[in-house]
Amino acid sequence: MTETVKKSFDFNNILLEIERINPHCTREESIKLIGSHITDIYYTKVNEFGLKDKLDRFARKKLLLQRGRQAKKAQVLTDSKIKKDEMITEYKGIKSILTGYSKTYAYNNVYYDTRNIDKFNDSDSSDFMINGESVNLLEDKDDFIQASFKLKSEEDLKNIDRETKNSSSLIKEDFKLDDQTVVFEGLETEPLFPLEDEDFSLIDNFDEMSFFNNKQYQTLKNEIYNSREHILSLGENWDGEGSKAFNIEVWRFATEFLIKLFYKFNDIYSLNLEVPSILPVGDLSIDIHWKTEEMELTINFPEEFLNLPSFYGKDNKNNEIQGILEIDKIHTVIFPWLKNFR
Amino acid sequence: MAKKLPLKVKNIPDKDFLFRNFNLKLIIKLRGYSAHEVPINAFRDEKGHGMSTAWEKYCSAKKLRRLSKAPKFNGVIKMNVGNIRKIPVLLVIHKPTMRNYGHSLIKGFPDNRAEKLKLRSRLKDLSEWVIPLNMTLVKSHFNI
Repeated sequence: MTETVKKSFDFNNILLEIERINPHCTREESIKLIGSHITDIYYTKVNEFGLKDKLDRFARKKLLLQRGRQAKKAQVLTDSKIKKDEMITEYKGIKSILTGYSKTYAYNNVYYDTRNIDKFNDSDSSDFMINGESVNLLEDKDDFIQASFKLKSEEDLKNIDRETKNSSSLIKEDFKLDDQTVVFEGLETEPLFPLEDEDFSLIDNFDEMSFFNNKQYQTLKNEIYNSREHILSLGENWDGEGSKAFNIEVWRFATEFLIKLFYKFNDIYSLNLEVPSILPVGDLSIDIHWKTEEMELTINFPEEFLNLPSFYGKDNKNNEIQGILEIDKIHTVIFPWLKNFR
Repeated sequence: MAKKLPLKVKNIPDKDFLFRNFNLKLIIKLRGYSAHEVPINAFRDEKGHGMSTAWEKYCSAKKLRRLSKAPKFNGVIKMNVGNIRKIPVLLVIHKPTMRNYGHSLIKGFPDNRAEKLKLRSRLKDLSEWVIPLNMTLVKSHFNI
């Protein structure tokens, strides 16, 4: 029975059987006939079992699943793209920090002759001039400093960049800047501006004070020369916002006081004072400012109260001195203070 | 004519920072200063109205520098608001302007000149450079 059934489903046997029954029928016609019968039976059965609807439902379900998969894939792609963009932005930020640092360090290693600084110029194209070439402090769009300048040795900069990139930490606080005291190379001792007679006499008198040791004397002299050039360079509208020029008389008064202070200190204690910085302040007053590791002391000379300077000092142990005293008496307070730190 | 609406004043949290423009022309040879320290002459009470600063939340250091009349001669320093408020006499106030919404003032500078000096010294201690990153950059600005 099984063999009969198998035989009946054998396509060749069926064809042979048809040819036997219809000897005039060709092979092609027989095949077409079988095909049309099979199609009829297929459609009949499909309609009988409702297969069409079932197939439609299946197709729809499959489509939905496909769409879901595609949506997930698209989401993953979008996420990865956003992540990639963020990483690129972060990288650019780090790169700009590194560039800023490397070039900052480069400044430390390169000597510039800055005597010919350009006068104030409103153009945004450059910050100031170094070696006759413009220097842009902020060319990049980033918030970090982007110093663009030409170094004497390009190789130096490349080495610094390489070293900085190799650094284990990218956080700027980790860079040790504390031990880098400000060193001013190529100090120009000759004044850029011609000294007036009064200033000559001031410094000539000072020259006669031979009891100062040479080094300290030379440093103080340089400080006074340099501060004079500096104050004179701050003319009308020095800040671009309409500020008044610094009054050279205030500077003269402050430096005269400083020289007398040096003389008196040497006279009383047979010691030389530390040389202070002479700083112009935005309110057109002048600061004489000492700063050492142990203490700091500032004496301020405002334009209106030249004879009554104010002072403030503090040390590492939180001791403070402050007050406003007549110029002839101020040494009585600050000398003991300064003597403690000699 | 359109009426100008007042800008909303916000409270500046202690953890935030303030930026301040500082004219680099005032920098001269600084003895005893390390590379990152801000000089004492960077602070002053402008016309008695308080010291002008910018809240970092609404104004970046670079933007503040650009807002100054002569950006190329300006450096920017930053100070922590919490540290400023630790100085008893000082107040930090948000005072937005149409030009700079982050504009803020440090108020409470005393009239006494010696006290003012003391305050400058304390502000110096809690400030650091943002532009330029350290003082050695500034040395090239003047013949020093």
